[in-house]
Amino acid sequence: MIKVENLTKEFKVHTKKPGFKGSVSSLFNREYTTKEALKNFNIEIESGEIIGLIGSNGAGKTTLTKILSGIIHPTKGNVSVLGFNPWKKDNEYRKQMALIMGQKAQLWWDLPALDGFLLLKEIYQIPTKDFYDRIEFLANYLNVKEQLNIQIRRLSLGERMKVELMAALIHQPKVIFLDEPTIGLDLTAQKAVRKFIKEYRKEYKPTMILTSHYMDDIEELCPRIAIMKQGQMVYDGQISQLHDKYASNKVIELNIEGEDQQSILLNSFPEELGKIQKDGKLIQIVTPRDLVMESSKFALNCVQISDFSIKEQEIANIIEKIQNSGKLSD
Amino acid sequence: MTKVYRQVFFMELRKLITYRSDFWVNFMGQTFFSLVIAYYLWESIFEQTGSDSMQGYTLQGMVFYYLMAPLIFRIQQGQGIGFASREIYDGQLSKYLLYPVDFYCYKFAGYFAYSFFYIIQLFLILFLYNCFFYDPSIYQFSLWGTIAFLIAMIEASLMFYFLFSITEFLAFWFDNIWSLGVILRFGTSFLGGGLIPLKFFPEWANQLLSYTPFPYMINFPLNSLTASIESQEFLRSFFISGAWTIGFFFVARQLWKKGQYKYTGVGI
Repeated sequence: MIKVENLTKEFKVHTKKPGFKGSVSSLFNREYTTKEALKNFNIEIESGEIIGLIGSNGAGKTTLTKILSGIIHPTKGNVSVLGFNPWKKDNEYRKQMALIMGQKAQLWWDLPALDGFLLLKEIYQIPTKDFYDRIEFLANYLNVKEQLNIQIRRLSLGERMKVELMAALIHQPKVIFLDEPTIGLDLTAQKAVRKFIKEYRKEYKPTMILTSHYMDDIEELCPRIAIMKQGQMVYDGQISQLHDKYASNKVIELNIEGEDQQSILLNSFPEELGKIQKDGKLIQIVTPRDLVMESSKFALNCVQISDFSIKEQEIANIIEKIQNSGKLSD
Repeated sequence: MTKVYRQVFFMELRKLITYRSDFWVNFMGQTFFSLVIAYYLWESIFEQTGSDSMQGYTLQGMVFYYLMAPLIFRIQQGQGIGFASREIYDGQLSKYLLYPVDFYCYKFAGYFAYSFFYIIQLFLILFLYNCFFYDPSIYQFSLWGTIAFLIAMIEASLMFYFLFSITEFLAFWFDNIWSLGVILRFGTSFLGGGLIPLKFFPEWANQLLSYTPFPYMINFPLNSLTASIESQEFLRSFFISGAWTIGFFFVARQLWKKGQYKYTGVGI
């Protein structure tokens, strides 16, 4: 479905020394530097799969999305999406693909969404009956039926994102690139967008690449993730395997009443079982996975505990660790 | 596929009339100011020189010229500077690259909507002018004049669109092309007869200009409208401007093709 081989993208960027002198000298003598946004990047995505693309700013996520959607040309490498080369801009490919950019709008700012949809109906040559059926389905699902006749500029950010989603999906694309679809939205709107994407996937089963800085988006929607760092892949695998592979510790949280009881545990907990620390009424023990039982037993036998839980380390922390430590791909 | 471009055309028209106050200011304001400035300026020039006519223009003829020339120039300019360069700079071009349509035709449909809108304005103003200042020696409605004007206007708009596209697509290579657009607009207006009638230029300059695209942008449609052009001269102008239009089209098309390799989709 999507196959990327040795993809490299270089950008030539103009540099300028600071200050007025630098500005004047750049009028006559321009200096450039080459920035590698993608370096020999490889990935394969199956039909109907959804993958979360994660990485800090400048990791190359958006560059990859732009190349896959055919907006920009790579410096070298091969890409095949649905059997097409995206940057050849074959109309047959463009009819089966959508790019949703959280920070960019495709609908006309001064006109109602429905006017924009009518244009898309002609662009994608959607039969009239299908078009109105899809509008009905999407508008009902996203709860924006009342907003379709209002100028885009007068809609709230959340409503705008919902009608943008409708615009991107009206031609029922087989491949969808979602570039930060929940950026800037409040929590309720974020949840609504995520719920919609989930339901839409169930119904139409498109192949999706999701780029987001919000871990909730990734954890809720993507069983598989690809972590990028400086244009390269540092992890490609199931999100569920992250804990097993990269989180060697678990966290035991204990709620202990009384300062004296807390002190007893803090002073007597053996160093070899893990690190213990106090966080208000809560005592946290970070212990290796194989010592969880032993650590728990020690604490339970040592003091009176009113509440007790064992937690995995947060995904965001593991990803941060992977990004900072470099190449860990299996 | 033509339905797409028809839809773009009507959407641009809808957008243009969405804001009522802007519509009326645009319609009446510009025309009124052009008329007042032209009248007082040329009235004092005629008074100073003491003559009734200059290069074949009476005062009323001159005012009519200055009423029509900016309107014709506005028809050609369509959406004006930045119709593509602005989108290259802020990354909005990306959305057009995703659509299974021809960017060139898509943009022209929008551009043509503006031109169409201004043509309607021109005829409305012409109608009002005839109601209040009717003078058959200056302008008299004729079917041939109107058809010739529309043909010349469509050709001039196409020529200007492709010429303008060349400067707009340079935005793929240069960080700012605004000044270039302004120079082109000023140059076109001056050499096309938008600032001073071309009859005021020396004979050798007129000879030289007749081989350039400029006189066919304002002077040619205006002469066609007032039916002050012979059919042979009309055909000659039609073919010369047609050749320039085709030339500009190919240069712009090449720049568009090559420019896409430079596009970085900045801003997304």
